[in-house]
Amino acid sequence: MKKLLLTSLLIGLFTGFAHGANDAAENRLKASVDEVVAIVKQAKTRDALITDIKPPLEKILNFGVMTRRSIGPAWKQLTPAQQQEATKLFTVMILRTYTAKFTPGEFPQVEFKPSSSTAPGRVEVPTSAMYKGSRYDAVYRMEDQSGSWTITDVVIEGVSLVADYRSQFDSEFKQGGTETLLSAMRRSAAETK
Amino acid sequence: MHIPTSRRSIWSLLLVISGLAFAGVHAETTSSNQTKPEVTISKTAKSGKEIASPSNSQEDPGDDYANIKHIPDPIEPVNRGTFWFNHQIYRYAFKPLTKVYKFAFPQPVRTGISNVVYNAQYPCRVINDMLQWKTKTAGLETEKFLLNTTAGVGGIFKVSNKFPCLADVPYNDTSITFGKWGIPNGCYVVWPILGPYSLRDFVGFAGDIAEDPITWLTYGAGTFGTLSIATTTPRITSRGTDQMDNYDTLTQGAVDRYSAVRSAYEQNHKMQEQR
Repeated sequence: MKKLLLTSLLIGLFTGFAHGANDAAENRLKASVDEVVAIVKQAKTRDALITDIKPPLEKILNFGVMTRRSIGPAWKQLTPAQQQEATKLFTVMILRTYTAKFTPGEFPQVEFKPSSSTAPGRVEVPTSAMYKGSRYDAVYRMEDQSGSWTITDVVIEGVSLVADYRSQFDSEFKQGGTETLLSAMRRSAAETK
Repeated sequence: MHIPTSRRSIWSLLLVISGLAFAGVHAETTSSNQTKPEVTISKTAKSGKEIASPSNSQEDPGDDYANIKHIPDPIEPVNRGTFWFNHQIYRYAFKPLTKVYKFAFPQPVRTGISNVVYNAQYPCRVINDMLQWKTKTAGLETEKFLLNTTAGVGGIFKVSNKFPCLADVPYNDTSITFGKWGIPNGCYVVWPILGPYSLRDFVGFAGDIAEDPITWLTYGAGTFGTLSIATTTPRITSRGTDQMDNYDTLTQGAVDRYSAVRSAYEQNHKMQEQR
């Protein structure tokens, strides 16, 4: 009986923590989406939109983790300076791709679905967005990094942003190692500027 | 990306190429899209099974991308050549055509055309629901079809999106049925014009054409012949426009376009199977 009570207490505590984590992650994401939508609504020109949208995106997207996981095992072979450069280049690539999708005045209607905790400190928030007449399902993978919930991957229609970049970076690294990988990233970042 | 085209006109070409592709299934290769460890990759690729990425999870428990299974790509050099050819076609032929289509038809009209085409392809989805013994989904799909055909004026308006139980009815086709039946993917092949398919999905694609009512109209003459042109053209243009947008999103600013599209295909394909 004591064992049963203890187990129930532990399960209750865990689910309580999980619910708390889900709520914290969801609230953080909702606040960030609201901020982005408000900027898109107010923006008069495309350039203004890109400039204004960057700060909230930089706050919520965890570029350090995203870059490390996109590069995968090759990350360990980069020097700290190269890791820093890779993160900067990846940030440019992602921000440009993300902001290219928005048109001033046209904003998505985002519906948040119940989130789930996949592991301690990790939450997935599924959403459904209507944008320019089409419906997109997107899952935001969020992690608690030192007390702050940040996005570590976005999965749109089943396609993970990090996994997609990982396959590309793997291919470059396989061809010529770290220098080839960094050159390809520099080229891509320059194209997207 | 599956860019549809006049299917019968390219059918003979595809049959010739398919000989090469099927040969590729049995080809022993060490080629893969992986980095290290090379020995493991060589062994798994030879076995013809789907292969996983190298792991980084010991240092980073959140890095579970090593578990993603890849469709074997033993004819990668040939596929890259076809991919390059397709990219030029998309860039210099399809993209300008898409721009003209978008200019001629504003967004609401394009959405309406796309909805009508999707609604007309109801038999493909319901046949496959039944082949997978998903009777509940088949019922919901039928309700959705009837609602959109009547209240949605022939499917122009997706009235079903207003009902939560009908908004998320999972898409179904022959490739998904083959996957549910446990038929393996075979290798990854980039087809001229059509884009990437696993061998299994390509056979499934042929099944979808056979199940598509719009295809059957193309066999009619006279009135039906005219009707077939009227129905096939929107099917090609509306789906093609959507897929051109997806293709652009994936490849603009990509480090390696080929790997970006292959990875997206694999991941989306897996998601469809799991639904």
